[in-house]
Amino acid sequence: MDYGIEVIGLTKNYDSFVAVKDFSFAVKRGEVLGLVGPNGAGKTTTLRALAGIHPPTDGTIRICGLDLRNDAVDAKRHLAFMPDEPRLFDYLTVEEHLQFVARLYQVTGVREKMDPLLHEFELADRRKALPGELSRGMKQKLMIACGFLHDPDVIIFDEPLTGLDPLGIRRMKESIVRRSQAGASVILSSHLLHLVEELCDTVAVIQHGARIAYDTIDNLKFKITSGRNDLSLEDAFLKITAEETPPA
Amino acid sequence: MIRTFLTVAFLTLKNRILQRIRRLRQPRYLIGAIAGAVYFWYMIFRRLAAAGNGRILLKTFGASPVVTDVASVVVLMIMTLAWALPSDSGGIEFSEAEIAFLFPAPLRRRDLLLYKILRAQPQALFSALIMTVLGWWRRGLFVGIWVTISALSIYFILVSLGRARLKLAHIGFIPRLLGVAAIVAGLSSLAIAEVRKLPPAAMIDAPSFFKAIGPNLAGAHSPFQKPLIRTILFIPHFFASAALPSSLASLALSSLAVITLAVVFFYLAAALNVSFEEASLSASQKRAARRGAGGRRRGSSVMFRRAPPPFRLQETGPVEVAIVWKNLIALMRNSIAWVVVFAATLMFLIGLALWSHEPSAYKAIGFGMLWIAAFFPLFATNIFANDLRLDMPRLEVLKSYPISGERLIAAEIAAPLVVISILEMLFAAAGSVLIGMSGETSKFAQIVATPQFIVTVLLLTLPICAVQLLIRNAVPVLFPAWAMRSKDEPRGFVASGQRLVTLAGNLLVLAVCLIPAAIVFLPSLWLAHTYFGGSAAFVGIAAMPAVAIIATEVWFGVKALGAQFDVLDVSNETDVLVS
Repeated sequence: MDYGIEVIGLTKNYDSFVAVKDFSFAVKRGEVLGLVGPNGAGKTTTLRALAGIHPPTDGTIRICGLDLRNDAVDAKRHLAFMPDEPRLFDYLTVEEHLQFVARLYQVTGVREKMDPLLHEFELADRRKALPGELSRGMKQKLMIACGFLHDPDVIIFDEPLTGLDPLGIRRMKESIVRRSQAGASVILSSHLLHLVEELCDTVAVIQHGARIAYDTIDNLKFKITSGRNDLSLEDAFLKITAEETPPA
Repeated sequence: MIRTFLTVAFLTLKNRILQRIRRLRQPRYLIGAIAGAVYFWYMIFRRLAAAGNGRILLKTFGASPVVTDVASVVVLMIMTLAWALPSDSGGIEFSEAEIAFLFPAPLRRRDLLLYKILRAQPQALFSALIMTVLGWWRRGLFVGIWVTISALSIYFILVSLGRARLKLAHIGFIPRLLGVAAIVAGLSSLAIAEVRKLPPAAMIDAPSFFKAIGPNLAGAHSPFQKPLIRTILFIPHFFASAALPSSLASLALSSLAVITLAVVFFYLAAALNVSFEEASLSASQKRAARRGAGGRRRGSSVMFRRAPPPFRLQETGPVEVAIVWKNLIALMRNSIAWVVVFAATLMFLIGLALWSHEPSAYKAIGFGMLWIAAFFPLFATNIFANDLRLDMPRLEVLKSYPISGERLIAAEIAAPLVVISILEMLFAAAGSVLIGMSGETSKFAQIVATPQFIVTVLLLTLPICAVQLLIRNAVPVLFPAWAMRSKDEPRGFVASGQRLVTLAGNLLVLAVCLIPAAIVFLPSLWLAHTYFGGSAAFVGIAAMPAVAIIATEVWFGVKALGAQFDVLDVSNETDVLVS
């Protein structure tokens, strides 16, 4: 099977606190995986480990077959990480951000790729603007445009719709679908379960750092709701996380 | 309401202290705390010893009337110039949490002002304590300083709201500025007239001045006794007397007067009833954005947004060039003012020397430039921080890029290295040439005024500046939490200790790096002199082994720091919450 992402036994500790324990999953090319869980479940920690931002305490992460620990640079060339908070360089304009990222990822024909991206994310008339002159949503769009510039094989989103306007949300959803159909493996972490239900093929539910469910959305709903087809992913999520939560 | 506000201020202080105590479980904070505690203990101990076994309070009294008079003038100027500040939005600094909770709450504007004043008291108390203990105001006393700081802060709130009220009355920045300028001009004329009445000898030069007034400062006090000046300085004098009391009675009276003035300022500010909420919200958002972008670190804010990129970045090629390109843009947009300052200083000094046509001026200015060149790598690496230090708030993005830590570190320090090295070389070369022009015959002058010296400086500048930059960039990699301090982070002796440890570590590592090069330099100099003596290249050849050693150290340093960067887990260091 051709996997974009393979995670085997991922464990991440902060001193004595176990943020993620023995978490395994895989995302095929063209598949969208939703990573959901309550606040503090370990979602962002997992995504940061997948992006190579912090080293896992234990476990193996492969990006397009490349071990993230041993072939970090090559593995990172295949992926794009979109954090929940856009972290831009205050002193680079919109256009310069794209030029900078293009060189980092050795993107050729950047002019031809830049204009459609800027139009797609409604930044065409702000190409000379600094991040300080952009709204929160526009910064988020620029961050995403930078991520898409090198046509990544693996895309990791942490709350991708935060700060976007309705049109931006629609375009973002279309963009995710289009890129997954083009063969990208996508991981999407969000509390918006209707979004996960709409976009994702599979879902992994994480709570207290441990995986408590991992299946296709239809299978998961079927299993959790005992075959009732009138219930949503949200109902299934609330049921499964309530079952796993120890009584107070 | 006051009780609630005091409770919030107390709980904030308590929780902040507890949080800092909990942080001490991490060795790097503990080291900083111990260093800071030792430093402060030493300062207090020395002060107590100087005052004589704890009789510190008694020793603090007795400020000379002239000192108080001069302080009154300073206070007057500060109070006057505050009206000339451009801001007229009336914005008062509140934290984001304060805005979120207090602004929608059923509170009057007066209550918000009161909260702001009470909330500032722990910081004012701490500042007063530090000033008293460290003896920065050697004749100051804790209570008086605290009262002065608090009252002046209330005055500044009043002025801030006053400027906004003037704007509503269509009196903008320019008329305010002109008004303040007229007042300052009037006061200056008065001061000049009084100075002219001093004995002629006192106006000749500084030594004569001090000779004339030194033995009897009361003479200098006399102009301040004139009714007009006493009237002008009436209010500022209370502040000066409270902070620099001449006796216990003076302290008590002045403090009482200042407290009364503070109450008056508060009610005046409340009576202005200026809508400051929107401006405060805007200021809070800007502050949050600044904090997200790296706090108030020098060179972290864009000053010249129109500065163009230094060169066109090609799409392919070494990825390091992208980092250098980015940092050069940062340098041009954030720190170009410093480049201009140094270049202008250089041009001014050269122009001054050439204009004077004096050998003594060539010599003095030439040695001055060499002195600047000698210390330039030390302070310039702190000024031009357009490297990893600037990128700390975006560390998680940097770590997701396909570039190894080693290559990233090398690229990060390249941009400031280029600028610092060029400025360093210019100062050293200009100093050398000027000393040569002075005709100075001393042995040292003969050495530094040669082309060989300039060649040696050219050779050594790059690796030495690289070592210094590497040390500076090691701090955010080895101690990210120390490097990511922001304006709103709690400070105190832990932060002071961290700075002390960093400074000491910097000097120690620099010394350790330079020792092998210095050891090699002496025999290589002897060998070069023996075999290439008389040749123009001999000093350059002599310096090459030392240069090679420092360059090797830099290479190893970059590799080690890069490896550390690759395994750096910033979420462990900066209290990033797991989510």
